[in-house]
Amino acid sequence: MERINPAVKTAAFLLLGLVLSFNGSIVANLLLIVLGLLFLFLAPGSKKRALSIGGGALLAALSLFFTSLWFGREGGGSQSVNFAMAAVSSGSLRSGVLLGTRILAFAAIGLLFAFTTSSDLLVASYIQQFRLPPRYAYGILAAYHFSGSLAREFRKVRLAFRVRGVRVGPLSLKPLFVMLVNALHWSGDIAAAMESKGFDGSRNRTYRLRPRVEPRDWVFAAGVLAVMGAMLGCNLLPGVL
Amino acid sequence: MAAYLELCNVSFRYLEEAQADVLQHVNFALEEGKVTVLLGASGCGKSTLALLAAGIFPENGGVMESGEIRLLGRPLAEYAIPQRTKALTVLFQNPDLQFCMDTLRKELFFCLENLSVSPEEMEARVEKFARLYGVEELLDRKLSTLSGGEKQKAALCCLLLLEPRGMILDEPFANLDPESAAGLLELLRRYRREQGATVAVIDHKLDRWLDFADEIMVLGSGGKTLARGIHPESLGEYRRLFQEEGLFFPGEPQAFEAREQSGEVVLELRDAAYGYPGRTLARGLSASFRRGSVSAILGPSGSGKTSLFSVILGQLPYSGSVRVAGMEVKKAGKKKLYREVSAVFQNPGNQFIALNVLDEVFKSLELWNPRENGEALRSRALEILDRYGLKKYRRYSPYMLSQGQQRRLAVLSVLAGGQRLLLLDEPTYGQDCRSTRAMMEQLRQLCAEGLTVVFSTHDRETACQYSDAVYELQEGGLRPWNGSIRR
Repeated sequence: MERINPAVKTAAFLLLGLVLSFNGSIVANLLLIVLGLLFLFLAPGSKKRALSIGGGALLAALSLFFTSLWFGREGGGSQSVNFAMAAVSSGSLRSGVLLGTRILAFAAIGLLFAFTTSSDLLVASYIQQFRLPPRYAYGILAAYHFSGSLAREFRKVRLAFRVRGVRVGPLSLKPLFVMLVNALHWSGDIAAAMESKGFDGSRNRTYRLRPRVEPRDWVFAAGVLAVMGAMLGCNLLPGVL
Repeated sequence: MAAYLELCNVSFRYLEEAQADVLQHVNFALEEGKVTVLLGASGCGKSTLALLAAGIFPENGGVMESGEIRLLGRPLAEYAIPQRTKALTVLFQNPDLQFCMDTLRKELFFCLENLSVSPEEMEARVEKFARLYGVEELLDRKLSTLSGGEKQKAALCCLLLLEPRGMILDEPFANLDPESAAGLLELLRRYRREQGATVAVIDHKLDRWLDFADEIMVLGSGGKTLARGIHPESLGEYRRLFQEEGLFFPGEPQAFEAREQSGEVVLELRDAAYGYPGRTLARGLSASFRRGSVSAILGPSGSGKTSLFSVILGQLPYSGSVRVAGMEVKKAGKKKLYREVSAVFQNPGNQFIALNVLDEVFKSLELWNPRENGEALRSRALEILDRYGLKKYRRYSPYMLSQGQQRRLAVLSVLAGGQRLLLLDEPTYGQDCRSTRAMMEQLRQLCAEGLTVVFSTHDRETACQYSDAVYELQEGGLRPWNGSIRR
C-alpha cells in the first residue's frame, strides 16, 4: 500500500469517503473497517500510534452509537428490542450501529492513508500529478514539520502567563492569541530561510522524488472501485444490515 | 579590489506609515573575497541590511524609498532567486526556523532541487559534501532532536552545499555555547579555504572573529557606516567609538572568582535529578542560592538549563529535593509557589498582557494585590518604571520597545507579586553591550533590594562580570565554575 502513488491514493480514498458518507449499509461499513485494518497491519512500521488514534475513534463511535440509540428519532422501527436491559426501538438501534460503524470506517481508511503515505512523497506527487504549485506544497510541508514544535511553544506560552499570576484554562484565548502572533513571525522567518536557499516557489526546479502512475496504481484504483461496487451492492441487500 | 555588494543611497522602512526609515541614505560596500565583521548597536539596521542584500526585502515587505543595490556589479533586482542564491545567501539567527524538511539529508536535497541540479547527481553530491565537512552523523537524524548548535551547523551546511560566492551570517552564534560556535567557525574556515568566498558577519561580540576577519566595520543609527577598514591590529584606536556606540570591546581573558554570600537560602537543590521519559538530563544537582545574589548557569545547549527552570517552576517532575523559600516544589501549590518565584523567558513578548508599558506593570500589581486601591497601584507602577528608567515609554505598546527594553519591562512585571526568586533564560541573548549592561545593572539593583536571581547564559563574560556565583551544568552535574574565558 505504501508503494501506491499518493495522488492516486488520495483520489481513490476521497471517492471512497464520499460513497461512505451516503452509505446506508452496516455490512458495507464493516467491510471497509476490516479491509482498512487488514492493510494497516500488513504495512511495515509500528502500529502503536495508529492504535492510540484508533482508540479515540472508537470512543467517538461509541458516543455516537449511544446518542443515536437513546435520542435518535429515526423511524422505521416501531418494534421494541431489548438492549442492555432497556427497551429501545429497532430503528434507533440500527441507526446507532450504522453511525458508529461509519465513524470507525472513516477512521480505518484515514489511518490507512496516513500510515502508508510518506509526507515527502505525498507533496512530490501532488506537485507532479495534481499540478499543485510548489509554493503551497513546500509551505504545507514546512508547516507540517514545524507542527511538532508548536505543542512545545504552546506549553511555554501558557507557563509564561501562569508565572505572572494570570489564570490559564484549557480554553483561554490569551495564549492562543500569542501563538497566532508568534506563528506569523515564524512563518515569515522560515519563508525567508527557504528563499535564501534558492526556493522561489516556481515550477522551475528539479525533483529528486519523481512518483509516477504505474500499472500497480491502476490495479489499486480498480480494487477501490470494486470495493465501492461491493458497498453499493450491500445497500441493495434486503434486511436491516 | 572589486566590489562584491554595494548599497547606494538606500533608504528603507518596514511600514509605509512608520515615522522614520530603518536605513537612511545608506552607502555601503563589501569587497569581494574578504571576511568583514559588521558591528553596531541593537536596532541600528544591521539585520535589515542583510535582508535587503539577500533580496528578502523589499520583495516580501517594507518600502525601499530610494537607492539601488548591486551584487557583483549587477542590480540585485535583475537576479532570479536561484541565481541570486549562488551569488549571495544568508544564515539567520534562529536555528529553529531555518528548515522545511525533517532531516538534514532531505533539506540538502531541497536546496539542490531549488538550483535545478539533476536528480541523478544529488545523492553523490550530498554524500561527498557530508564526508568533506564531517557531518555524516547529522544527515539522517530528525532535525527536531538536534541541539541548537547542531541545528545551526546543519543550516550552515545547506548554504555551503550551494557553493555561494558569498554569504552574510546574521548573529550566527547568538544562542550557541562556545564549543558549538567553535565548530561552526571551523566549518566556515574550511569553506573559505576551499572556495575563497566573501563572508560578512553581523555580531555583537568581536572576540571569536578576531583571527578570522580581514576588516571590521562599525555601523551607526540608520545603518550609516561610522568606521570601516578597522583591522584586528588597529582595533585599539577605536576603543572610544565602541564605547560611544555601546558595543562590546574585546577584552583580556579573565578568571572568575566567586563572591562571598551570607543571606538566607532562597533556593536549594539537594541531589536533584530530572529528565524526560527514557532520558535523564541531569542528576546529583546540589547547590544553594542565597538572598540578594546573582548566579549564572552555563552549559552547552541541551544540557538541561531551561529544564532546570521548569523543575523549579514545578513543571517537570524530579527526584531529590528542590526547595524554594523552604517549600518543596513538588508538594507546593502553584499559586503559592509563584508568589515566591517568577521567570522571564527568552521571548518576553510571550508574557505581555497589556496594551501599554504602564498598564503592563499596573495590571500585574492588580493581579497579585486585588484588594489594594487602583490609584495607589497605578502610582506604584509609575514609581517602579521611573526607578528603572522606563517611565518615558509608559504610553508605548510593550511590543514597540527594543528586545532589551522588553526583557527589562518583563522583569518588572513578573516581580509585581513581590517574588523573592527570579529565573531568567538567556536575558542578554542578542543584545549589544549597552543593553546588556542596562539589563544586568537593573538585576543587580533589584538584588540589592533583596531579590535572588538565577540566570542561564552562554555568555561567559557577562556571567563573570555580574554574578556572585557561576555554575556549569555539564554531563549531568551542576558544578561551581571558575575557569577563565577561552578565546
